[in-house]
Amino acid sequence: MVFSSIAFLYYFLPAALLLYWAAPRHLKNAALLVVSLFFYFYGEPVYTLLLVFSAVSDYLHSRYIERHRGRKRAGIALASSIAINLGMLGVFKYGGFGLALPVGISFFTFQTMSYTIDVHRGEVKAEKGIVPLAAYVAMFPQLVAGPIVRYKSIAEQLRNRRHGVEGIAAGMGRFVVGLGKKVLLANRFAEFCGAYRAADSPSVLYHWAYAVAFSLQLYFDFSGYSDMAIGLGRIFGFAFPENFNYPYISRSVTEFWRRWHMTLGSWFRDYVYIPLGGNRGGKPRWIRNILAVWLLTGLWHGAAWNFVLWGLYFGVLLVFEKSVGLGWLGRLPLAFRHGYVLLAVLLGFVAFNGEGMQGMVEDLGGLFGGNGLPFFSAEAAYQLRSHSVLFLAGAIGATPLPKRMYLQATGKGTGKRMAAFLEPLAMAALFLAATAYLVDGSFNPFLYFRF
Amino acid sequence: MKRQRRALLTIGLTGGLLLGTMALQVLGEDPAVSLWERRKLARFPEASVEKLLEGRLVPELEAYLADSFPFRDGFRRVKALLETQVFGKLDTNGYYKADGHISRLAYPLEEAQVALAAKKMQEIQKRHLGGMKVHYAAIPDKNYYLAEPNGYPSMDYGRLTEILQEDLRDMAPIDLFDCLDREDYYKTDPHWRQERLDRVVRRLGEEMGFVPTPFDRYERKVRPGFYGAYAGQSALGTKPEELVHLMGGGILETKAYHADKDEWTGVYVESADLAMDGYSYYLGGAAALQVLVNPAGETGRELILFRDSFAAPLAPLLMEAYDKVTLVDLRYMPSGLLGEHIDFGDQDVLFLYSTLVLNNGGVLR
Repeated sequence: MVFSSIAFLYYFLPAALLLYWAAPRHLKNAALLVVSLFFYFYGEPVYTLLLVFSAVSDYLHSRYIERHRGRKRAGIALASSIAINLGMLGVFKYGGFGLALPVGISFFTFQTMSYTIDVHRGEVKAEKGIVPLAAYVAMFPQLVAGPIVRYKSIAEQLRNRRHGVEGIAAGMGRFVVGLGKKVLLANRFAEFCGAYRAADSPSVLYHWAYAVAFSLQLYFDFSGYSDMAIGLGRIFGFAFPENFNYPYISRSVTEFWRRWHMTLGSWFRDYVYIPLGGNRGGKPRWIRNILAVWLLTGLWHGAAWNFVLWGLYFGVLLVFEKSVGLGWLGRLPLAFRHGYVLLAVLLGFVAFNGEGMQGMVEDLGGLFGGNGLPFFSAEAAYQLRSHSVLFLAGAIGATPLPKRMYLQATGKGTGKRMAAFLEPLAMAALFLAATAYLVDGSFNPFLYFRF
Repeated sequence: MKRQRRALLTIGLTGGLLLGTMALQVLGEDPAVSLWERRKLARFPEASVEKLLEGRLVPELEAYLADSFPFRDGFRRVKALLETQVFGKLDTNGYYKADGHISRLAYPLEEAQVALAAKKMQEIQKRHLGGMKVHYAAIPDKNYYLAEPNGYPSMDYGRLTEILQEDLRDMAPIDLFDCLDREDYYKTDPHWRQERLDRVVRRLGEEMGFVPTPFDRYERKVRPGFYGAYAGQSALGTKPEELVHLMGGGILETKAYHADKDEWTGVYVESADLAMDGYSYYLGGAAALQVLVNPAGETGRELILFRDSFAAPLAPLLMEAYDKVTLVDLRYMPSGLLGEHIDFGDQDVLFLYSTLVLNNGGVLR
C-alpha cells in the first residue's frame, strides 16, 4: 500500500489507528502486527508469506544464537540466518527467475540481518516474544522503504512506549510534511521527467533540466517517504532514526553520503566496512574496503550494470576525496565546492536512472550534446517555463532555509502565539492540497519501492 | 499547556478530516458518471481471490476510491488552482487557458499516426471510390490559433499537411486553415461554432462545386447554459456559453436517419444526452452511420462524408446543396463494412477530419 493514496490515508490509517488505540497496552504490538500484515498483504498478497517466514526465521535463529552465545553453534546459526536473508534477496532480486520483486525486500532483509548480527555480537538480547519481533520486522511505517531501523534502537520501545498527545501531533505534522513533499513536489518533478522521456525534440538544455529534476524528485520522494515513516512511527510511539539531512548543501561527496540515506550508509559502515577492517591495515586494503562497500551499495539497488557503475563511481570519488581531495577541496571557494558536489551527484543520479547501460550512456551523452543534439529546443523552454516555480520551490525546499525561517518566525512573541493555531490549520490545508492532487492524479508509487 | 492545546488542535483537525471523509465516502452515494469529466466513474470492484492474487483488485479499488471521493469536483478545482495560480504552471493535465479559451495541448505531431489515417483513406478510395470525385480536408484544432501566440507548443501543422498531400495524391485537397480563427470555436469546447462556418462552407462550395446557402438566410437559435467538454475536464473554472444552432436553408425539412438505432429524427436532437454533452444536440452525438435526407431537395446530388464530430454541425448546412448526405464515422464503423451499408455510385466524397483525429489516426478502423 502506498502512503500517498486515498486507500491508505482515508481508510487504512484511520482504521489502523482506531484498532491500535483501542487495544489494551499488552496487545498493542499484536495490533500493530495485524495492521502491518494487512498493509503488506494489500499490495503483496502472496509475498506476505515471505515476510512472515523472514520474521519467524530470524526469531528462531536469534533465540538459538542467544542460547549458544560464544559457541561455534551461534556462529553457524548467524551464518544460516544471513544466508537465508541473502538467499531471499538473491532469488527474488538477483536470480533472474522472472519473479516479481517483493516490495521492500531489501529493507526488511537488511533490518533482520542487523538484528541477528547484533544478537550474535551481544549488543542486544534476543527478543523473547515472537509477536514483538514480528511487529518489528513487519512494522508498516518503515516496512517497504525505510529508514532501516535496527532492532536495538527500538527494542526498549517495543516493550514499553509512551503515546503522548504531543508526540502524536508531532508525528502527524511530520507525516503531513512528508506527504506534501511526495505529492506536491516529487510527483510533479516526476511529471517533468516523464515529459522529458517522451520529448519530441530533445536538447542539451532539456537533458540538464531533467538531471536537476530527477535529482530533486529522488530527494523529495525518498525523504518525503522517510518523513512519513518517521511521523507514523512517532504516532505509534517509536523514535525512528533520521534518514536525510539536507544532502544537497554538502561541500564534499563524503559529506553528501553522510546526509543521504543515512541509515543505509551506517548499515554498510557497521556491518561491512568495519568488519572488513575499515581504514586499518594500510591504504590498499582501505581502498579495497571502500570500493567493496560501494559496489555492494550499487548492487543493493538492483542487479543492473548501471547500478554497479554508479556505486563504483561514488566509491572512486570517496577514495579520491579521502586520500588527496578533501584537503585540497577545503581550500577552494565555497561556491566551487558546492558546485562540484552538485555536478558529481547530478551525473551520478542520471547514470542511476538510465534505462540499462545504453540508456545511461545516452542520458549522460545528452548532457554534453552527444549525437549532435541542439542546445535549445522550444519544448524544453516551455517545460522549464511551466515548471519554473516548482524548480525554485524544490531548490529552496532542499535546503534548511525554510525550516530555519519558520523556527525564527515562530520562536517567540506574536509568531509563537499565532503558530499555536496557524500551524494545525496549515497542516490541514497541506493535507487537503495533497488530497486534491491524489483525487485527480494517477497512481504514483515511491521510487524506492523498487529496491 | 499551550503546546498541548496546539497538539490537540492538530490531532482534532487531522483526525476529523480522516474520519469525516471516510464516513462521507462510505455513507454517500456513488455517482455512476461524471457530467463534468464526461466519463463513467469507476464502480466498486467485484472482489475475488484470483483478482487479488493477480494484483488486479487493488488498482481497481484505488480507481474507485478516487472517483467516488467526496467533493471530487471541488478537489479537482482546487488542484487546478494550485497548479496554475500557486505553482505557476502553464497547463494543468494538458489543459490551458488563453485568450478566454480553454484548450488542450496537442503535440507533438505523430507522423506515423497521420500516415495511418492517410493509409485508411487510400484503402477506402481504392476499394470503393474509383472514378468518383474525392476531396479531403483537415480541420485545424483550435491550438492552431491559440497555442503559438500564447507561448504553448503545438503540433507541426505544416508537416501534417505535407504528409496528407504526399499520401493522398489522388484526392483533391481543400485548405480550411485560412477559413477559421479562434473565435470560430467554442471557448470551453474543442469544436467549432455552427453559426461561424460561413467561410468554411463557401470554401467547400468553391472546391467541390456547389452553391452554398447564404448565411443571412439562416435564423439563429440559442440554447443557454452550454459547458463544453474542456470546461469540466480541465477544472479551470469558466462561465457557461450559448450553444447556437441555425434554422432555415433546408435544415427544417431535413430528416436524419440513425442507422445504429434505426430511428429518424430532425438534425437537432432534443433526446440526445445533452446533460453529458451539449454538443450532441447536433445530429445526436457520436454515431457510426447516419443519413441526412432533404425531401425537398432538387439538386439530385449526394455526398458521402467520412467524418468526426466536427461534421455534425456542418452537415446540416449542406442540405440545400445536396439532397442526401451519408455520414460515416470510421471510429465506430469498420471500413470493411462500408460495402454492406453504402451503395457507392456517383456521389461526391469528402474526407473531413480534425487535426486531433488525424494525429491519432490509428482510431480510424
